[in-house]
Amino acid sequence: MKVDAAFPDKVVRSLEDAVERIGLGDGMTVSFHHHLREGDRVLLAVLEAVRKKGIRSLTLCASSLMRCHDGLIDFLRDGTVIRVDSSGLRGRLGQFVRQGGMKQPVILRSHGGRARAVADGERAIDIAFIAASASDIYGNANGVQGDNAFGSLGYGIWDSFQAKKTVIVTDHLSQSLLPYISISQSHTDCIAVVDSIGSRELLKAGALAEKSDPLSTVIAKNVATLLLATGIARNGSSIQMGSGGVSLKVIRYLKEAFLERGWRFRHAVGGITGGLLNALEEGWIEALMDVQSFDPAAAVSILRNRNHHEIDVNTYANPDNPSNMVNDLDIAILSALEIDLDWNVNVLTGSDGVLMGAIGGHPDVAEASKLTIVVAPLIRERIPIVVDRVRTVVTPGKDIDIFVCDWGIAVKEEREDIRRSLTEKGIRFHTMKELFEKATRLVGQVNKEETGGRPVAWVQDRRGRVLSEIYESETSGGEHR
Amino acid sequence: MSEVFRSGTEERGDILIQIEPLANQPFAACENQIEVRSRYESLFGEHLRRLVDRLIAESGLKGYRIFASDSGAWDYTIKARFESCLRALNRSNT
Amino acid sequence: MITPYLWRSMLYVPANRPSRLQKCARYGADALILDLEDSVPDSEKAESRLLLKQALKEPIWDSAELYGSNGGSERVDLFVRINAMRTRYWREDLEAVIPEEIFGLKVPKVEEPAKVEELDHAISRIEKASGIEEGRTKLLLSIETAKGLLQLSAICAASARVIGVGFGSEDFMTDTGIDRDNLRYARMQMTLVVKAFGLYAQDSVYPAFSDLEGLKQETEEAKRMGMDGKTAIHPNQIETIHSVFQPSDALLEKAGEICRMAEAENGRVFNYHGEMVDRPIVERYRRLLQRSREN
Repeated sequence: MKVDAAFPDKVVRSLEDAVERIGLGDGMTVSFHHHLREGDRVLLAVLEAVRKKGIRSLTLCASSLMRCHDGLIDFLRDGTVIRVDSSGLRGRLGQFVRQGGMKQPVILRSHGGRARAVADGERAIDIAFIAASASDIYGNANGVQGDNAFGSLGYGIWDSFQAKKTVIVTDHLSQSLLPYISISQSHTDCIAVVDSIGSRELLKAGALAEKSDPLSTVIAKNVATLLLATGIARNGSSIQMGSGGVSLKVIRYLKEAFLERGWRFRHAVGGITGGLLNALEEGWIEALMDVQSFDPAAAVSILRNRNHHEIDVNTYANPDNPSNMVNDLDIAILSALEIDLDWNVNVLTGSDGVLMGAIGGHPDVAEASKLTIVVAPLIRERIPIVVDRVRTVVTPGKDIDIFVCDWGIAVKEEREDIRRSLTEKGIRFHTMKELFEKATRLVGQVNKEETGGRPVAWVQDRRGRVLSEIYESETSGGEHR
Repeated sequence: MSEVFRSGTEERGDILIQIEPLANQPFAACENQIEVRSRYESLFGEHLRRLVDRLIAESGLKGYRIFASDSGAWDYTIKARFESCLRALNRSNT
Repeated sequence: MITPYLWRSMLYVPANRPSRLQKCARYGADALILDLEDSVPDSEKAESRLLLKQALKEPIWDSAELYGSNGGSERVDLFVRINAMRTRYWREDLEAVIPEEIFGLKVPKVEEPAKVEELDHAISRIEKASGIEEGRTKLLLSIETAKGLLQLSAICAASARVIGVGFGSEDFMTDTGIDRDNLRYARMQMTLVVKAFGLYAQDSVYPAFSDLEGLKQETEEAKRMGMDGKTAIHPNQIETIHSVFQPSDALLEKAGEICRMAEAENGRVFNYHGEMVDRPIVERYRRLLQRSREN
């Protein structure tokens, strides 16, 4: 007699039911992505359900934490969560961690580093809770359909492969197969349907607006001039543009030049902004490799444009994956909170030690790209960006080639090729020391007190070694923010 | 009614400095009352205080209340605003 | 006649804002006008003068020019707009800024040649007292009234320090009642006189700083009328102004060729692709190349 092989019914109607169904227990490791950026409602809602079920001592492996996750403090205080992995710490949560609110140090990783860690056993994920703007009843999910479509599910996809079990959290359940599948039904164990996975306004607000500040324009122009004059940016180059205001403006200048000459970038990698979406439409970038969409318009682009590829974070930057896309980068433009005489870069802490940023893909991109440019103003109001020694090393100096600020360009001594090229074109450049001396002459150097406290966070390099530590501090700092 | 001599603003990059004579105190002729605050207290507070102290010492002011509210002024601005207050004060005294 | 002064843009910067003073040279304007006049209220005149004086001593005036050779860092050209000579501020303005070695002064509301002479002498006194080479401080005069426009020839001739004249649209409209769309005649007349003297002709600011299209149109018009540059009220305007006053690559190539041919022809008139090129024209192209190399 034939036995009915029924397709499992994975759908539950509350997060508490999901927590129960999936078998979440004390001490497990749960993961979340941050594709909804400041509009995310899922992470805290899941923890709320977890707490209601009396489950405790979880390890939270988030791809990153935003300001909207400040509420995590409650769950840390009551022991629901005892360990946190993230790419960044900011706002009240950052302050809480810095002031010693957690017993276990937070582990901060780059996106590529996290991809490695969840796969090589360093951080095995028990349950991945993956917010998806659309799911079908089989468990196929995407981030490009539904009211809260956000674009690429790059971090979520990899977690769905690596986690022991996966819960899709969605507010848009389709009774029929989705036309576009990012996460496969074969990786989905449970589908939790909720009222809303995120706030659409905050999602949109999170989309990076091009800075209107004229200094960014100056720096961007310098970058574009440098790239074009030296021939580093040419027909067929590949590029990663960071998410900062300067990067967005660089796109505008490169566009003019590329369209004029009929050139095209072979692809742009990483965080996809509105400017890059336009570039794809306009044809001067051939393809986008999207691990994270910064503009909800990416959702439509992914659906419609075969050259807009959604890639998972393993394909993006996992150092254990030789086929990762950052390995193919020609040019990278990244930002900095601080850069020092050894070219080390800090994107995590302010000069006063306040946690205010995220590592993101910075060290992954910097190490792998053939050319890495860091952009920042020399001085932000009263604070020098070029310092003697950065407060926190996030990206080691060996991976940085050029620094462009509003007082000029600095080129690493080792890059004889670039220096020669610039000299040939009559473009001026300085040493990092000269820029440091300029900054010091203008605003002095910041008084960095030596903290002797215990480490409250570890910054790992891509391969899992501790690169720097962030120490406990009483000062709340941030008066000027 | 003593006059307050003021220079600068609380806009970013500027410093507001106020100098006024201390009234009706027996030892007013010897002491100054100094209050300094800054947006960048943890980073530059100490430097700012030292600079203000030095400027006061150089000016020879005695028996005044000096108030400074800093919004990230560079040193040349601090010196200029202080000098402006001094000049206004001296002009009023002559 | 080609004026030797090639500033495409000049950015106005209020002298009472330290944050602006510190940043203004970074925006890439060809020159700066540090303003003690209209952007500074009376109550702040004294302290702004002092602030500006201190600021001029700081190493914050490096040119933002990317092209050039390493190790050399020229100062961007600095003008200070002093208060009008009919006010009580201008003398102290001079005392404060002349010793700080600026390129020149922008002089508002110039109407009489005698006033320009008076100013010239006052500057000379201060230059001598400060050990500065006499005549070093130049004058960029602002014509803002009908009377000033009528006297422009005599005004230009009044001092060897005069290197150029700028048109002040806002005040000119107030003085005459002429509206913005009808200033062409006045601006052209100014330009004619200025060019007759071989000086620098500067157009007025375009106040709507977020309207770059309008700025472009007005700047193109200024260029077509023979003006050499335009003042800017906001850093975002600089790029647009430069794009208008910038020779195209094709033109630069042509300039290069013409100069090379002129060398070979040694002063003789020659034929360039059907165009007759004589010495004045060669000079024009030579200046063009120099400007592009400097910029």
